[in-house]
Amino acid sequence: MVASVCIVAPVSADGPFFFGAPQVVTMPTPHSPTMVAIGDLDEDGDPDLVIAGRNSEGFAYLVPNEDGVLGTPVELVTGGQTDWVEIVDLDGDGHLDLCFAVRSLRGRLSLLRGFGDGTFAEFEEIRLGREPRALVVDDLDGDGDPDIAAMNHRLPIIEILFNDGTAGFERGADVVIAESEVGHPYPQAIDTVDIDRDGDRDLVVVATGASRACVVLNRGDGTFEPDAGWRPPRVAGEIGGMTNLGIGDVDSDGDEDLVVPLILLDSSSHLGVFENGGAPVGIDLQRERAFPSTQLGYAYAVGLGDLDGDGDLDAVVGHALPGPVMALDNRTVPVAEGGDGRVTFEPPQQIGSDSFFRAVLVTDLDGDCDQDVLAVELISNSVWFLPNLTPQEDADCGEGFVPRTGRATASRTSSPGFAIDRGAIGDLNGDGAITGVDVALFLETVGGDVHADSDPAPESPESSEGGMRR
Amino acid sequence: MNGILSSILAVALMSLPISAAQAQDDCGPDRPPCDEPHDGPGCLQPQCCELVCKIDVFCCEVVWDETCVEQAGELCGDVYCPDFGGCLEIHDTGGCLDETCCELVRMHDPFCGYGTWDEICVAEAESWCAGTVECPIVPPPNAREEGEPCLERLNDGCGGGAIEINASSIACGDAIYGKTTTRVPRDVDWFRLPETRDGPLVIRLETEFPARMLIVTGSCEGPISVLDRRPVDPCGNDEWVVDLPEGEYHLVVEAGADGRSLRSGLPCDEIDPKNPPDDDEEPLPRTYGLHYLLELACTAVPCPGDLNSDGMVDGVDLGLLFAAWGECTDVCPADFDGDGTVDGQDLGGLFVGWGGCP
Repeated sequence: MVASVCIVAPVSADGPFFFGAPQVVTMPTPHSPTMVAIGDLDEDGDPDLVIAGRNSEGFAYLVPNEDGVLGTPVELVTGGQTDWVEIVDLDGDGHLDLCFAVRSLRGRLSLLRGFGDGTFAEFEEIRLGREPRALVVDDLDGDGDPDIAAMNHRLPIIEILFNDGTAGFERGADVVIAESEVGHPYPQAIDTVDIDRDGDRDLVVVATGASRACVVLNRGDGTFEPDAGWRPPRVAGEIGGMTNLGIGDVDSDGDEDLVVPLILLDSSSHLGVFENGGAPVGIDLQRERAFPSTQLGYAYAVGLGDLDGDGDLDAVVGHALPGPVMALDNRTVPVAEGGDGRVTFEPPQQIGSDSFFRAVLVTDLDGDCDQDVLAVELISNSVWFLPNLTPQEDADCGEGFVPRTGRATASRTSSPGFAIDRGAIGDLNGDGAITGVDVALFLETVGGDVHADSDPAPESPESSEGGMRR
Repeated sequence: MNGILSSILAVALMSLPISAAQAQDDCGPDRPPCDEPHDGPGCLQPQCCELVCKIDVFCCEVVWDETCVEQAGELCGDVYCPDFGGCLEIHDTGGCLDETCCELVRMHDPFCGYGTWDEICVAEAESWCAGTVECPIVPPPNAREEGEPCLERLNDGCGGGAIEINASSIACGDAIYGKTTTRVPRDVDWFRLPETRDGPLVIRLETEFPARMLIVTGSCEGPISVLDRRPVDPCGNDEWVVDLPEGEYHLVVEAGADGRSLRSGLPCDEIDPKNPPDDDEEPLPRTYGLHYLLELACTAVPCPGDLNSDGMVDGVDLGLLFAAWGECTDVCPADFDGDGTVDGQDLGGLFVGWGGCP
């Protein structure tokens, strides 16, 4: 499939998005990149990239950023294939550290302590359960340092690790989610949010196999209430498969909402919205709104950010097989501005295309104060930087766009064609039916098998006298 | 290895004469696993080793090389039991050395075979491997059948994308003789609890298999929450006292263990008329029975500290509590808080009720 893109023709009168030519950085080894996170790891003032991936050598990559020009990827040894990375100062030394979820049957986190110059100490392992796929770092117990909630894919258990302030961790009580489901819950994504506005950080987990967004309220001390699970908004009666999660106040009413990509069999992919009703006690999620994201491919990843500088959160959705990147303009009129406050996203606009964009992130990468898009392309082994050229409401924002003057760090080839034979997808969650959930679970496996240990396979034994015959 | 392959393999193995003494010598626990190439002949899993060596004597005479590994993969399926590591010790490989225990745990928790023998596998081995596996329940005359065949889904809650919860009813005083399986989709049995309650509910579950009870509130579209859960060991008989606030609740009975559902090892024992098995098809292996007896009492224990039911909480009851001190192994009336252990909290509970019963 040939990469397309770039400057996009306006599709509506008041808010098309404009993006410059993508800067594409290909990983030096087959990496099957799964996620991108950003942080100023070399402390030079601009955010650098870390790319997790299902790398058989157990590498992740640091991609340095210099004013919006991405540099050559630098190898990071993590000890296994990784599906998720968080960048945060875990040990309190003032430098950002890296924490990876190692996708292995011998489940573990891999912690790399940063020195502040883009280099790191050798990885340390923190033992976890059955195939960690994701983690979130946040202050769960309210003591001021970042703790970890890590999610196992093959066990619906969230493990809580309390930080002593130096990246020493003590285990808290596990959180079990989606227990009453017939099918395997298969959690896939996790984040924190203060959904009940009580001042502490609650957990939200996307259980792909159960097709539930599970909200777990924090009691304030890092212990949690039983989870409450919601199905996503139905589209023409169908329950979609969810793989990813975006959190933000999309209706501008002061509380945080959830958005999810929805994989459907009988309809095109959608962006589903859980609107936080802001109940004074407990959780009130309204699930009435879903918006088409494309008629091409399966919606897999979502990011939120204000792309046009109008003060609300727009959505960017990465798709799979084929893989357009679509931007949806938020046109919600908040109640505070006399509107009905109902979340509304305009029809999607394509801003990139390849085979499988497995993760997207909206952030200002080039320092010109508007929100750019980073997209991880799994099949072509690359990360895409889509610079935002959309005129911003603030005239001083967006003018500082830096043209791409840096040379490409690696040549890239177009992704090979790849499509799903729906008939070949089985009942992967064991619920007795084949639905968009099973397509979602299939897509999660693209990029590599999971092993008991994802360290490089041992060499075959050396030949011994009389022992070789084949 | 799936059950059918397992059965076929078992039949094939039984029909094979073990002709090579060499194979017997080189197959067993002092050898590396069959799925790894290694110096020297033979491998750990005896059945698989003998099967491969019957076809390729090189593997038991010279070296267990890549080709032997490939043959093991083709002939034996996924070979997990036995494997290195004690069944009561965490280790980073699948399987464990006690073949019977290894198979029992792996059958119900496949991760313990293909994954690692983690703390969950160890807990399962501790719970199951030393326990009874055959304990057919004889339902009392007043028990009614649950009425859901293996092949139907009448009371499996929100399964199948249901908008409304599918559940059976259970009334105060009911005894239900039920059956659950791990056939895909697995069978979970939901019971709507009586909405009118004067006090705590007393739920008794006798089960032939590793079971779990859940108290669920909410609706299929959401929110739905599991408020509490209680595992019951196979051949166990448990009493659970739950005190629920006003509202609608469901009790779920499923195959499960502490913190998780079980999704394999309990195949349906009925014949699907739409898809009957072939004449020579062996039934899928199963160790435990499929039945349970569920009883619900709505009259709360009026005076939980009164262990000898004499209308007083006194020194006699204190003595009974101390006699039951420690971990519960069976019905455990002195475990007032239902945490599975008679301890200081229960002692405190007894003192709170000291004196005449209300």
